[in-house]
Amino acid sequence: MNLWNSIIKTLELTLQTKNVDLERKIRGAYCGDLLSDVLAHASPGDLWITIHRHRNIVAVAALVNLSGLIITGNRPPDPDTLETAGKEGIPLFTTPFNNFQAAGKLYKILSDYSMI
Amino acid sequence: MKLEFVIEGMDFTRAGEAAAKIKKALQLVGMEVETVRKSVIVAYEAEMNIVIHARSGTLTARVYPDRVEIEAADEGPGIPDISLALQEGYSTAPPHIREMGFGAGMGLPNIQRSSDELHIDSKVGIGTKLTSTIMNRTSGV
Repeated sequence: MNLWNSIIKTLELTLQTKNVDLERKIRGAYCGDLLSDVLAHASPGDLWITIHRHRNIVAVAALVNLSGLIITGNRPPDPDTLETAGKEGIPLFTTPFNNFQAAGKLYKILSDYSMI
Repeated sequence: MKLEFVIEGMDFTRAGEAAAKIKKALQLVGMEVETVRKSVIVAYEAEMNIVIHARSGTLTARVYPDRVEIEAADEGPGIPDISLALQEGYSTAPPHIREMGFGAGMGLPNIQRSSDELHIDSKVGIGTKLTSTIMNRTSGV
């Protein structure tokens, strides 16, 4: 199973964006709900775990060149968030898990793939 | 090269567009990765400060071979105590802005850390002008 598939299965992700291919390479992950913190400390290729669902998360994800967005707690993204993510070609997922659970599961997978 | 953008206060739907255009332009002219990264942080934080705090303003990027200068000039409430505003964690953003993940008092400290030079002039009740210089240092030298 490739990395994207492992993550989608383990974190029970639902891909919310349409017409966005999982082409971006995952290089790591970042978890946080303060946009300034993510902008300053996330790295290109990171998957971002957050509770936010407004469109400004897409702007930050695009600026840092993140590989994808995971919104926790099954919060539905705002329609304009999805539209912007589609335009930017950034895959946006929802997961039923909370930030802590999602980060723990993702950390395990990236460890198994010797990425962290 | 000079890029200039008008930023409207409280316009969260277009927030980040100016920073995104500056990023693309810097990549296009081949600025160093680290220069682009720092410029993006300065541009986005300065843009968000105008959106969150000011009535309106302009964000200008001037690109030279050896540096990027980013200027944010706004009409707004001004900053009464600039040294206090530069302290990590200090914020005057209202609760509904904080709930969006902004207003954690990290914006100006982020700008300061990413700038080689930073000047802030502010007049209470009139507005603020911030000028940041980011040197374009060749990587691996």
